[in-house]
Amino acid sequence: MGIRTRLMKQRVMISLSYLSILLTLGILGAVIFFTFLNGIKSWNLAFFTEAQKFPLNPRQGISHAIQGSLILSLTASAIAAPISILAAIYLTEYADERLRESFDSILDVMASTPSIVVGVVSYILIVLPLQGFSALSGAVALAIMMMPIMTRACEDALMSIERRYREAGLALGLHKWRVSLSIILRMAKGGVLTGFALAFGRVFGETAPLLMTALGSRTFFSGFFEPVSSITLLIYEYSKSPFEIWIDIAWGASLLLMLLTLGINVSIRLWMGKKGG
Amino acid sequence: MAKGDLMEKLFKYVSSVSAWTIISVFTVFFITIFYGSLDSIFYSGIKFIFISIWDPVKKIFGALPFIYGTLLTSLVALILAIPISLGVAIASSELLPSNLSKVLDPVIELMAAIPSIVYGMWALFVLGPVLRVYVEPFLNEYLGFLPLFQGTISGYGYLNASIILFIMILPIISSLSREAIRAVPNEIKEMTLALGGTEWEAIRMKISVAKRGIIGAITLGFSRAVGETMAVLLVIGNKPVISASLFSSGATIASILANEYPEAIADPLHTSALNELALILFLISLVINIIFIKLVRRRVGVI
Repeated sequence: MGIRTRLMKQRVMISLSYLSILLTLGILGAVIFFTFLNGIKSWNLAFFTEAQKFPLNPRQGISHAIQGSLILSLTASAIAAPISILAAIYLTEYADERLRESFDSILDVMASTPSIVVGVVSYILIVLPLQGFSALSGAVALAIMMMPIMTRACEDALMSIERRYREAGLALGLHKWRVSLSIILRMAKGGVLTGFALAFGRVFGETAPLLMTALGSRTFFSGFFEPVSSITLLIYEYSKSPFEIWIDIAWGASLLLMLLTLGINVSIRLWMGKKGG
Repeated sequence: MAKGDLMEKLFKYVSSVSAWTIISVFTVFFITIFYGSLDSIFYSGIKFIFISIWDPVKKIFGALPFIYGTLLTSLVALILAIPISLGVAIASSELLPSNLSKVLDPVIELMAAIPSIVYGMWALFVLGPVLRVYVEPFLNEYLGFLPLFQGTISGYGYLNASIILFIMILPIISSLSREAIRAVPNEIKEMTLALGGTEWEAIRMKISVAKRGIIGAITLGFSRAVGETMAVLLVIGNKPVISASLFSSGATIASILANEYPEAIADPLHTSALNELALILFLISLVINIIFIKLVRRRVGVI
């Protein structure tokens, strides 16, 4: 190949690389732009304060779905957080290297199990025995999704604390559990919280496992053994409806969901950037 | 002191139980889905994955249309995503000034944080009309000799689903590939340049060294595409058919599960057939993810 063809090839390939990055940014821009444009129209006071009404009533909102999403994700966090922290402490402080590595691999595979499969499992394990769709089963499904992400993030945070702090604690005559909880976990607090926020952001936008567990509802939360709505379930239901008001509300809800999840992620990054210097 | 020793034992015990609980959830997964599919496995047998008819009313359950739809949409998404992700990875690791890529990298990674239902809304109301009015007529006119681009133009179906999957796996493949390329020592590039190579040839050398990581990135993208539910569900049309045309409606394993599961409760056999579909999806993604972990020892859950 002559040098001219080689340089030509270089020019073409480098231009294509630049083009791909422009295309990617263009797509991201188009997603954000159209979601914003279509979503902002339905944002008014009623949108945030009212619940679902008949499809032709202009004064309705998604407050029941916001409430449902918060209840589901917070309950899931409350279930997943203690187990994940303890599991991470066990893996980093007590388990030997080889056990930890094999656990890590399994946790990684778990973390990328399709969320719809988690939904099916939760349906068989919880919805069937309880004989009905419920907020509880939705929260458990989300907790199952959170646990591997949280555990891995906690492990990373705990591992980042240097060995000498553990030794110092033990040299003071403290038991290992005291060292783990009062020194190591406290020092790793930032990383642990970051992991939680990440997992929370992930399940807050989750829809598929809720379809077969929490099911969705037209009213506010009425107990853990009753179905409950979520922002994502509401978007799904409204997007299929023939009513313009509901489709507009689905866009408004998408905008809210997008801003919340992007907000969580951006704050994590900014916060980590500040901490990392 | 005795009390402290007891606490120590107790704490160690409780924390080890926590770790094992999480892992056993995974085992329970497999057992549960398998148990849920037993009825269907006895009813349809091995034919389940070869029959192309899905008719719950007549009690004919064939998984082929969904396996076909899952693989077709994921593969088309990969065909679109691989070159563009590599372009993005090359541009941000090798071509752009580092100040600029420091800003752009996290922006592109944010794409992965947008919930799939939001992508679904966008694909349903923005991408669909664009495909119907501009893209599909264009493809039909100029590439219509291929069976892929024949058939009724609607804006929804395999093509729309593949494109939204492509958009969703783009940030995953590009950021993991970028890191794989960045991890290659720059000496490789300098050596190629010193031997008289062009800059592009030097970049290619780096890519060939980072090949393993890049293939890992592609594997993870594939795994995400296979399991993705909501965005696909909204645009694919949810018809259990097998068609060579990308314009046709279809269904994926994940989309049929989400679409029919809540309504199938009345019919245990239907539910069981859906469970068997979930089992197939679980096994497919398990295999892909194990390949990924073998390729790159890196955590999968978070990019």
